[in-house]
Amino acid sequence: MDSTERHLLRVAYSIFTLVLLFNRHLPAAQDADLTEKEMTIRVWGLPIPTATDADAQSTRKVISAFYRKHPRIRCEPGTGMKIENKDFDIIPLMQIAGDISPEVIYVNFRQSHTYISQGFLQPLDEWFYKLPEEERNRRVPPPAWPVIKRKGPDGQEHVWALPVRGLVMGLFYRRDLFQEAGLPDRAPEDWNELLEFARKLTNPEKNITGLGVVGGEECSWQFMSFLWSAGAEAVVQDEKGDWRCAFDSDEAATAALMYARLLNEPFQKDGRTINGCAYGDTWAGLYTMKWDRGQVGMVFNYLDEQVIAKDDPEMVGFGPVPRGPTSIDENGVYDCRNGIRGSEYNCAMLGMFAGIKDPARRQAAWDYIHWFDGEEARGIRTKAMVESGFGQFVNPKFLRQFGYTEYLRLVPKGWEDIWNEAQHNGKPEPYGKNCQQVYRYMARPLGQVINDSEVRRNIADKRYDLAQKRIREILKAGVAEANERMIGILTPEERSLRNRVAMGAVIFISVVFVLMMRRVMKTFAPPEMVIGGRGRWQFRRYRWAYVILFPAVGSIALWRYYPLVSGMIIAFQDYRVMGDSPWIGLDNFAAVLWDAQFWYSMWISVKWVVLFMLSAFIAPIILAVLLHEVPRGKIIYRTIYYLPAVITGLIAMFLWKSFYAPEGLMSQAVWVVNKVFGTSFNASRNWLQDPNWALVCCILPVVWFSAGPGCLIYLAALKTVPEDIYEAGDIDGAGPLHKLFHITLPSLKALIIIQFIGTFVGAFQTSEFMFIMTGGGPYSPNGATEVAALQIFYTAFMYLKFGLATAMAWMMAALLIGFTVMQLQRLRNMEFKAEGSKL
Amino acid sequence: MPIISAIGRRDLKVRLLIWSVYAVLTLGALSMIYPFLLMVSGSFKGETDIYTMTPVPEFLHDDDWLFRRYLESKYNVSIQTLQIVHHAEHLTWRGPTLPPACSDEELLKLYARFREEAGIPETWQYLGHLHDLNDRFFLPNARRFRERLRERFDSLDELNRAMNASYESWSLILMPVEKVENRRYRPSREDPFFQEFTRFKMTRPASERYLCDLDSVYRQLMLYPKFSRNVAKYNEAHGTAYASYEEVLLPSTAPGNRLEREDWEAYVRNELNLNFVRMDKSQAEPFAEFLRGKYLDRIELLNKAYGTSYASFSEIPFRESVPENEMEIVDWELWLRDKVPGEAIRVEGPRQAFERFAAANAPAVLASRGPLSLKTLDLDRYDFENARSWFMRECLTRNYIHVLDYVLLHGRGVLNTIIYCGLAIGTALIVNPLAAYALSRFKLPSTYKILLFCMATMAFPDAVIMIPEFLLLKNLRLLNTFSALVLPGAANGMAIFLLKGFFDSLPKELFEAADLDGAGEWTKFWSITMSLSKPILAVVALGAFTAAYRAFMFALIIIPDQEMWTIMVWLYQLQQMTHQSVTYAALIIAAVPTFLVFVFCQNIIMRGIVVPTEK
Repeated sequence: MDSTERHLLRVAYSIFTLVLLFNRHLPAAQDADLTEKEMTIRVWGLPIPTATDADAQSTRKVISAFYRKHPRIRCEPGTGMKIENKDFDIIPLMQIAGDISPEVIYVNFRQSHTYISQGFLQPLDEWFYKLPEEERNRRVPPPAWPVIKRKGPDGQEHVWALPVRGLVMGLFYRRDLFQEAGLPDRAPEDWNELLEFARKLTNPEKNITGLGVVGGEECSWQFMSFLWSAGAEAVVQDEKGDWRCAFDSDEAATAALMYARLLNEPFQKDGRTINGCAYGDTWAGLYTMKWDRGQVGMVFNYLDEQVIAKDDPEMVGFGPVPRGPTSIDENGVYDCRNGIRGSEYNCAMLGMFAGIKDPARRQAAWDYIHWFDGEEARGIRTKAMVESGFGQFVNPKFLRQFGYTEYLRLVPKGWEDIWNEAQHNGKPEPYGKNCQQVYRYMARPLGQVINDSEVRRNIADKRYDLAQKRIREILKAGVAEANERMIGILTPEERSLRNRVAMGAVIFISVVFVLMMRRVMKTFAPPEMVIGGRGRWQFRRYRWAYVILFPAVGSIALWRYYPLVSGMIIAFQDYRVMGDSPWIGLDNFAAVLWDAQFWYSMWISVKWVVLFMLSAFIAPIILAVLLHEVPRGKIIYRTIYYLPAVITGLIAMFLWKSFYAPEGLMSQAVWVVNKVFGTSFNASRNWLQDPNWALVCCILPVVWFSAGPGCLIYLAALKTVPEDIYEAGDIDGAGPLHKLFHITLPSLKALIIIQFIGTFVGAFQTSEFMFIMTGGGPYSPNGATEVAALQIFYTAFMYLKFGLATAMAWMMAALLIGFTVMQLQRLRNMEFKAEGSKL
Repeated sequence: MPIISAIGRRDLKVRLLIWSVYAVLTLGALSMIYPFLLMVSGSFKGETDIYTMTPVPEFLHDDDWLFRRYLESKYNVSIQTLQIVHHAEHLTWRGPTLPPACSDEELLKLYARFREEAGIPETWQYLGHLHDLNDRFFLPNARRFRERLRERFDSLDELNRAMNASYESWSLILMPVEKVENRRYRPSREDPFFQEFTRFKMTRPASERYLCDLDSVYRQLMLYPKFSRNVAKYNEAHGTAYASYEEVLLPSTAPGNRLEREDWEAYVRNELNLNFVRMDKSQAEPFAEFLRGKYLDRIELLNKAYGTSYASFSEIPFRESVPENEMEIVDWELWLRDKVPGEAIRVEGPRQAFERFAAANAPAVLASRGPLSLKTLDLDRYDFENARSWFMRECLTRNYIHVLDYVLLHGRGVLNTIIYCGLAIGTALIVNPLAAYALSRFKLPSTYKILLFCMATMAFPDAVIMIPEFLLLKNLRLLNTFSALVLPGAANGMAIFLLKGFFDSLPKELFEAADLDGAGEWTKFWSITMSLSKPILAVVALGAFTAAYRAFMFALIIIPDQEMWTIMVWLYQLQQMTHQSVTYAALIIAAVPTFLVFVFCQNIIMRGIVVPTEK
């Protein structure tokens, strides 16, 4: 056996070297002692090198000055992978999960709690408190203090990030449209004017609407300003320091009423009735497009502290958020004399990634963070702005500070007001635990308010008190749900109920799995006892067999069984990629059981599977039967039908995605159908954004590329059916249908069943196609194509809630295991023959 | 054709049935092929014709469409630019048509000469065929410029140092967006990148550049928003009597009409780029006074700001056109904004230069025609006729070059994919067959246990295993390595089970004979089992290749580092940021490997059809 041994070693060795050879070595982060060497850190905030706009030019000068000051440090952009249809907040999370986090991370208010509690951020205390107190206060605007300075996972208070750029919500307007509508060249002062201006701007003939808002899941972001202007709050902190939703007050209802009035209230103009003077679309891109084209008169958007000129200042003016009301009369006129402007205050902040081991590298990261918006940098930026002709668009505060006073009188009127306003009434974007989710949870009741028929009717009849009453009901329900889901505020009874149910579920899952595993074991047990040695391993006798088995068995043990076991553990933990993962018992399961979103995604999965079985599963069978019937040209047809599979499913998905664009193939096909049959289907829809169509859109390409290859197996099976059965049928005078149902299909039965189970299990776990096609959307607020498998993927890898995602996966597995076991049983009892050569 | 019996073939009903089967199959076949044709045709298209959904691009046979594509490319895919240069209200690129030959040949020639010979400053003109604003296309001049940079700098690193930039790849070098008529367009003159770009711009032939048409810009940006596109409203507001907007120009000096003058001054003082403004010499004295006031009569303050060393304020030379020094520009502009009297301002742009050129070179042409406007449409036609064959080639190759640039110059996508596919095939051919061989040959008493062990995990949906598997890879520090891609899937219970079945069916006599010959285990494995199982192993290899080539979603998370991305991940990124037509080209290129596999391995695919039958 010597030669065997040598050969085996050679094989094992070659695998090993192959793997090692091509493995990429870990990044240089591990190199010790970089103090004297040049080092490259990956950071946020570098401008696009070719951008010629003033902002990029000035930032470039700031960075150059940084290099001059720290000649040994070089910066690289920390770009990550872009995930379509997902916001940018997830990029840093994905980078951290993927071990490629930049040293300097961008932190915003809403994500700050997640970063801190998950231990992603390095406390900045050791550097921050060395700064003079005056600088500290200058760097951190009052609304930002509670955000950056708070308790970390260790229970101690630390400073976590440094604000670098303020952002304030303002109202932008198109000056040309204002001119055309005969409006003054300023933003509306209060809510009455906002309504009035928006109505004057609205012009259905030219497809112009007064106000543009982001609809769908992201609508809460702009609604927040309405909320604050009306004197309401989105979230409040209770005595224990927990954040709760509070958007169900009277003031909040006033805000929601205003929002609904803007979108829905009918009004008279030029002798015709127009419904609503605002425009919202679930697809944010469309609204920006309309703004660029001049089809939207006003929008709420962020103003940057440094410079305002994002749009063309000749075309676009801006002002503070309009003043909200203190009351509303029966004619719908607001009393805004003592109203407030609820501007959102937000900051871009820089934090340091906690995973940096090397102190020199940490120092470099701090140097960058500190420099980016320091006094010198501000001076450089302001000078660069002035020099490139943007003097009048710089914050007057900086103009004064750096001595460019001659520009002060050129500064547009609204600019300083907005900032002064923000200093007084600016509300920080919610930054508490789970507060990023308030946007999502507020979107749902808000969407309901807009679409509620009672609210609509009452607004149309100008019975605002009734409308407001109904709105409060909706908001109340929304807040209750949000609090429960977002913060997990539960009564003790509720909690114990949930735990009991979760316990029941876990026991049920365990029992199911144990029973199923027993069935699997039975299936694999040999039919009869092998005499002598059944159940014995006999390692000594068969040691070579075991040695060659090892790579496969070891690999399965490591990559299948170990994850299975560790997955069972993770499901009971609040798993964290950095730091310790606390045990949380049944909480994950309880959360999943009561998570409407998860069950909704299960429902979508079921819909998807049904669609899949009805189309992509059946199509190959029909095709095979048809192909089997044609006397001539079989090969050509077979090849043609196989063609789509040649480009792989993924590419087919990308291809079809383009067909669903608003003017794409799909629309044109519908248009042709309308022309030919005189029907009137809506051809100009955005197919992938339509909740009723998105899932169908995902299935069509699957049918397209899987019918050809799928039919081959049935064709091969059909070949094995002896001709004489058909001939016997002919003699008995059976018609084609009779033969189809009594000869053809029964002969395929075994194959169809095993294919059915396999396809079913496969379809239930599909997520890739939706990921590419729609990313799970459109969201309203639940994703119309977000199947359970995709939701699990997002929960784990984009939001890093591994424990929760694993619990979800186990729940899904419990529903599927019956089928997978059945599949195993069938496979075990089948013989496999390569029949393709007969084709 | 068993269901439709061969006996009654002549029967009308049976024939009808057969023909309807053919009809259904043919319809289906068309729906299989049509999307392909659209993809191929779409890969040659551009913004103009992407939604025409024709299986053959129009520009191949229709000059109007080729001309539109030419305009799209020349005017950097900006419909606003087209509106300005052609003085037209086109809302899409389908608007323009190829005009008939120019009637005023003489003027056209003169204009073409002017363009070549008059030494028009670079700040008055744009470079065309460059890019689109969203960088969804790389147009030919962007490619040339990148090529030039690559020649000048040996490595990206060297370029980054010289340019003070941080490019991660050559294909990420985007082109600057020029806005020469805009006051705030003031690219830093010291910026090495911009210097290089300007030099490059001026080396391109005049037909690839276009002049800034100030009259049209003035109408588009200043007058239309204010007075609408209806000239009657303009006349009403100004008490003028223009027949069309074409007659409303941006005059060199302030117009006599008071209301028109207000517009003119508002534009020239505040909005027009300083490169088009001249100030009269008579302003030297008042301007010096202004500076004295601003710098508190202390020359050292001014010297500090300007970085100069004047001894006194009177030494400072007066500049008729915009100065070079950045702080000097700031003061010059402040003076222009609201100090200088309107009479002392003059606009100097391409039209004025053209008139002067005409006066000097062909006075007769000027005399017979009144105010000359820039004949851009006619000139475009003229350029188009000259560039036709080049441009046709460009249309056919542009998107493909874009994708190849992106894939080849941008990270190591191709190399990664090749390595990954190679490793995947290698492991698939070693790990599973070895195990199957052991089970098949040795008749272990524990065979069923091992098979059970290998296959039982198939009962668990992937989602249960995927998350902890990812965390295991992370904890083993294997993320962003090929191991992470290859190792977890190396062994597969089902494959072992199938292979064992095939190995079992090999003739036992061969092994007995080999035993008699004293062959080692390796010989029996390699020379007998493996070589007899070549067909099925080919299927295994093919399957491994396809799976590796199309691996996407798990790959996305276990190799997030750009250095490690495979072609599919690149494709996912590319299709998010490029134009649809470029995506089509990318899809075609990405489909080539699998297509070749299909063409050359058809037999293997067919043989790999495994039909399960009940025992």
